[in-house]
Amino acid sequence: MKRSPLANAILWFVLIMGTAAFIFPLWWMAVVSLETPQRAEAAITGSAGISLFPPSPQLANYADAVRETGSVPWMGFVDALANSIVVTVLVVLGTVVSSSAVGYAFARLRFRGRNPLFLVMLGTMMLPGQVTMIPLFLLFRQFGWIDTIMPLVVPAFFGNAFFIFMYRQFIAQIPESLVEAARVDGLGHVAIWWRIILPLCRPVTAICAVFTFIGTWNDFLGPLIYLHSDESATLAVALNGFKNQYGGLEDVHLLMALSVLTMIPCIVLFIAAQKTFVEGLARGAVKG
Amino acid sequence: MSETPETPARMIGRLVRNGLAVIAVVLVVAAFVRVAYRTATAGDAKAGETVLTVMHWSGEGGQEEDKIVEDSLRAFEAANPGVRVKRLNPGDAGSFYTKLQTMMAAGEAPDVFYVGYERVANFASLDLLRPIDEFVAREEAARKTGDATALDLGAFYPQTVDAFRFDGRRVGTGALYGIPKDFTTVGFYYNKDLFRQAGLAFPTSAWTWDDYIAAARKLGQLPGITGSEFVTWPVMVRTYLRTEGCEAIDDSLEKIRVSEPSSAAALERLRAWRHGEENTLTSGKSKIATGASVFLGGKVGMAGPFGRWVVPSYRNIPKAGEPNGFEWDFAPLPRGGAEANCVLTVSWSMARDTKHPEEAWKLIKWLTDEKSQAANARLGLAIPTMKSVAESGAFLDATLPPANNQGYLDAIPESVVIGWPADPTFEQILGSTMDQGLKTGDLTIPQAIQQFNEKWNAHVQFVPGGVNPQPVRWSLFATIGVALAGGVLALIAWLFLSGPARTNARGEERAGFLFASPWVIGFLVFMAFPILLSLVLSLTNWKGIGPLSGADWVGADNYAQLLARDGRFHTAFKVTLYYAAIAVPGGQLLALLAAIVMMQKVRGIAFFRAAWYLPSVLAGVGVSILWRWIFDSEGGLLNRTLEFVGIAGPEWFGKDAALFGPPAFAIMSFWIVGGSMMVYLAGLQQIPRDLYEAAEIDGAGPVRRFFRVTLPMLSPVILFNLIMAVIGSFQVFTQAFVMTGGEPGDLTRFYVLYLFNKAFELYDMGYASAMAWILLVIVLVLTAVILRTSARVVYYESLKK
Amino acid sequence: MANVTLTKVGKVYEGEHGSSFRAVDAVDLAIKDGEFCVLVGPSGCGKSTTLRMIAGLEEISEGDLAIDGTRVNDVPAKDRDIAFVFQNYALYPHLTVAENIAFGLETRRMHRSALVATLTGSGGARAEESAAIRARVADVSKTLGLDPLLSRFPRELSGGQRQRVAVGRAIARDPKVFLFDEPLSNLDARLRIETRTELRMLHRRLKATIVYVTHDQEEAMTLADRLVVMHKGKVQQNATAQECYERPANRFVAGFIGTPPMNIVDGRLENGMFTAMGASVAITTKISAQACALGFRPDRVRLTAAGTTGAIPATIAAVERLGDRTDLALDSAWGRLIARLDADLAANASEGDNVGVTFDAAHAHFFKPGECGARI
Repeated sequence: MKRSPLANAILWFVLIMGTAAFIFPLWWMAVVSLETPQRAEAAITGSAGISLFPPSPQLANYADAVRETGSVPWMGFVDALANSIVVTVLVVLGTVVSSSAVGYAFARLRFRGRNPLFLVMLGTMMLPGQVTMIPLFLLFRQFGWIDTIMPLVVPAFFGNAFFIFMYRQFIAQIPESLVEAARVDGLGHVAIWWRIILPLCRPVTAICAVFTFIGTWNDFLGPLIYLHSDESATLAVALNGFKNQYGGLEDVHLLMALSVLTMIPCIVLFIAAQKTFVEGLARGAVKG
Repeated sequence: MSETPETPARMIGRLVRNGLAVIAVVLVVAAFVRVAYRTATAGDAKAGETVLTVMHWSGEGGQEEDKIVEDSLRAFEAANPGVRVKRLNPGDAGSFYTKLQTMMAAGEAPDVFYVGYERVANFASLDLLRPIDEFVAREEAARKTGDATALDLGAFYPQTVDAFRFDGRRVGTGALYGIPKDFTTVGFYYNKDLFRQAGLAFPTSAWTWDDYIAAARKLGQLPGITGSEFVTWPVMVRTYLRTEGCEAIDDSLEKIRVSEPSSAAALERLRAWRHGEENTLTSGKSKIATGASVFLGGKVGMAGPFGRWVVPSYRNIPKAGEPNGFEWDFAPLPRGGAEANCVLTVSWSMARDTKHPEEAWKLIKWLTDEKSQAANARLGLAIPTMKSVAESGAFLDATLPPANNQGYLDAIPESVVIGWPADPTFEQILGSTMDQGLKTGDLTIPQAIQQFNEKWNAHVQFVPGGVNPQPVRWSLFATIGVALAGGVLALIAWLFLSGPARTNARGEERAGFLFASPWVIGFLVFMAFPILLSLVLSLTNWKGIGPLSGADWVGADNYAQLLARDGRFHTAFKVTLYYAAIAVPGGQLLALLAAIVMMQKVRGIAFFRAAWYLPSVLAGVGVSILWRWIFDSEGGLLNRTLEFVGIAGPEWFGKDAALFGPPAFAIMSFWIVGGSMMVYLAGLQQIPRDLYEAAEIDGAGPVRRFFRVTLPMLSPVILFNLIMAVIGSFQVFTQAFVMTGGEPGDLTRFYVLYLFNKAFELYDMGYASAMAWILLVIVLVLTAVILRTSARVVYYESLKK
Repeated sequence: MANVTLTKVGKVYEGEHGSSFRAVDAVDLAIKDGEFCVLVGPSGCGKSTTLRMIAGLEEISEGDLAIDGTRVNDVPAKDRDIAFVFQNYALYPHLTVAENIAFGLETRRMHRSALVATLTGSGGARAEESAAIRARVADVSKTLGLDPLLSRFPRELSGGQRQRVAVGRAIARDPKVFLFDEPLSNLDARLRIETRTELRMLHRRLKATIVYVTHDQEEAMTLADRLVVMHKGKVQQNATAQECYERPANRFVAGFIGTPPMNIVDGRLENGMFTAMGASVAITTKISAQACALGFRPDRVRLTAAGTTGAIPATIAAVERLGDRTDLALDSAWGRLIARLDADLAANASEGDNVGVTFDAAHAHFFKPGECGARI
């Protein structure tokens, strides 16, 4: 179908305006983070116009922000970063491994109770997390897990309904003959899952890993409830603490700098995984 | 692989990718090593070493306060070998309390921590603080025997000490729960340069509200200048009322006085100044620069009522003559019909359950002794609580502004500690209703007072479980729980043992059980059990701090209170519903339109897809911080953009918050429609092309094709997205918590935020559980309604099999 | 190599609500060592199910299956020492050709883990094993001409190449029995014929026991040492291809084997006359008078001028010239008949011509009435 010139013009207008709306706030954030305190304040309060580039980028803002994070200079940030990485990596690992295994069971293995269990699992997707928040807090308190990463990490190893569903839908589309070939070739169920199914599920795994990474990296309520000491705080919590300490106008450049820093891993991951991720999502690697 | 020639761009791309991968691996390994190392070394207190945890805040004091405490603690460690102090500083007072309270809920309170005088009654009544009378008595005895280092309470301003006494009902008498570290009286800070410019005389110690408002009006006539910032925090409102001889609640804490005519009149006057005139008092603008920092810009004549705590940051104001500089000073609180001021003070207190009371007391003594007080005084943050230090050069330093240091001290005789009911709900309700009456102005004073009365009465009249509640029969529930668990285990065992006879099928079934087991176990432990426990809890009254055995059975009282009487809950529900009504349909429509745009075959569409999706991967604290500024009513990106096209933007989180607060969050959610967009895009791409071609041959135009082919084929995806969006819209938390904290008033207090407040700040775990269950029912009902109404219009293909 | 014996093997699928469906019914089959046995029949006849039961991919509901005399009903697929070539080849998409071929060997190696091998000091044995696997892969790829493809992924191969890789993967394992499930059906016609020949040659070289399933009777006949014709879960005939063609055991086999299919007419045989639909033909046979079906292959049909006595009057409905021969569809008193003539004999035939039909009575077949009426 050929577009008329008018339609074409409208399309490009929408594309460009939309892109501006989606990207500009982030750009602006980055610009403010690189300004001098005075210029940053002026930019924020609107007393100066909107500048698209900082005239003299103050990279030192980033060093200052990093140094001032948490209560121990430098190490506050290092610890927060390390915590975020450890929690996120473990949660991603746990979610991928457990969700793909359960998805495999629901898609490929016949066992009694499979269908009712699957329906229950679909139902749990509608369950607001707040319903279990308080009892889980009590449970983990009982386990002595408060102020450890356990409450954030351990549940990930028990599967996530949404991703189990994604895996199941995907695995159900893998030709049965591949599994049969593997059986003839001498693989058991565990080996089939690990050596055949998981490698074939790469598109889903990419989406599952990226989603989980982003969700965990940005999670705030969980760490807020479970992590108390400065050393165990994640970046999201450290950033909120930083906001509370440096929320004033005079430090807005630092706050923006730290905000940008916390976003960088997600942006890098997004760009790196963009092809598999966005195109995979868009192409409907995942049905459902 | 197809062999493509290695172009430079390709090579660079590969280098960057590999480089990033290496960095990522190094970071991950380093992070694990760091955390493992820290975990391994955390527990290893040296033999005989005592570890004390100390928590404080450093909001207005900034890094300097942080450093003073740090230095003081290190000195303490040096003076007390064998004691190690771990320090926590969550930032400002608000996050300090959030954290302290979650820690207390977890039974992991620090040993020694700040307590604001207004929280003493609450914490003491929850049995979280350890009375220190025994230690004080010991010091007293030691002093009599001539020990010069012993603590002498007589050296402190008596109001400040009494502020930490609580007898179970009232503050001021009874057991002592902390040693005040510093305090302040309040007044206004004023910009001398602007006063001169407006031809005004500087405030005197005897100035009145009439003088004040006359000055504010005159200042407001200067171009671009607002007369005065007037903060309407509950304590300031009460102090203001006291200067007119009235109050919000009487000193016995028995009688509400806010609806008395004189109180109402005083509030009306304040509201009229604020909302009835232009530029006299700042209205409730949703400015980043709120409270104290408004003054820094030099565009406000006066700011207050503030205590001493703003001084450190005000001292950074450049001197008059320098760019952005001006001269400033402190003026005492204007008088009305009476002369009044308040004492705001913070103590070092001790946790009830500290394992090292002796060391903790030693530390408290250390942190409130003359030396520490002098160090703090030099910071300028507050008035030392020891008279000798307050009147010494450490505090009255003439070389630094404000010149009128004496003003703080002069107010002491007429200052009192304003008592708060032990139930912090009083302060919250007073704060939120006064916010709406005075700050945002969306309620009139009579309305605000009426709402306050309704909400407070509903709260105090709520006696869950009646006057004589029965403890929860946990043994019964435990029995039921064990029976249920046994039943589940029996079922699993039966399934496992009774399997099909044929070996292959049996092996497959066993494998099925094995592979499904993570989810089944997770479901039972992390879902089924908590849900049931939550249901039981919702029928109890339980302060989440103690053991479960302290819970009282209240039946459906929590639900009745929530549904019939809790006005704040209704507000939270309305706010959330208002948000959902905009965010869900708007977001889905935008996502669908965006997906259709993304379907177009255009050069570089992959870039646009990625760009539009990018914000969705960033949702979190950083994004919330960013949007807080975007919604700023004056300098904010959004209002500036609106201004550019000729629209005067609202004060999103200010005086227009009732109308525009929840929609602001909805707009923010539109920024992250990328996720839904992608799901729609995937759905669109799965619609077979030949359907469109067939429709085109049948003569259907683009619009008709959209409604006859696209929508029906996409309907299952729309349904899925819709349900997810509805569920998500009831779970707004991070944005609201970071951006507004629910304010102004309760106008952006979303459902889950209120739930969080109730559970982890007020410890009403039973009540909060009931809220969670109502949320569950709402979500289920909405989902059922959507499913039911959609049954006829959704074209199903899947979900068979 | 090995022989495979099926004794009264059956497959019953249990449906919901107690219903059941018998897909394979009491199949008896003895496949000799080194024999190329083809199971053929229309779709749904139970041939694939039978093959999958031999493979161990389906449970055997009834009867016994023995490989080399050992009952293997309860032996899992991986332990039956069989190789299976799937209709869609089932190559592992994430592995290269070489890895695909080696996969079955890798999973069966003694020393699974290099680390364990090193630790237990059997590193040398492991290396030896790896070398053996490599050699085997090289061997197979050479046999099948896969050398240039070894490092490619399945998605980068053509259909024919994939098919060869699938065969290579089966050969590499050197199993007791090869099982092929319609391995050529995804190839285009020309390639199918080529590959068919290659398979036949491969069989001769490997001297392997092969059980091969196809629905294409021509393919079946060209490949089979032994042809097993199946229909509705039952074996209809188990014989050489030649015998199935020349002496079909029943009416179903007669209709199924041979292209174009045999002409079969229901009628009555009496007094040396076969009468159907009012038209009769004189026929000499020892068969007693009875209601039966008469069958004759299209290439036994002769055309005469219209009105010849003793011939069935017919009209030419369609002429299909195939080069060396010509197929004619005839509307006759016996309904639609098909004739296959040498091209020169049919050079003048054109649609609408009236002709008479006779056939070579010596090659006529008689069957009992009914779909699977036995040969008389």
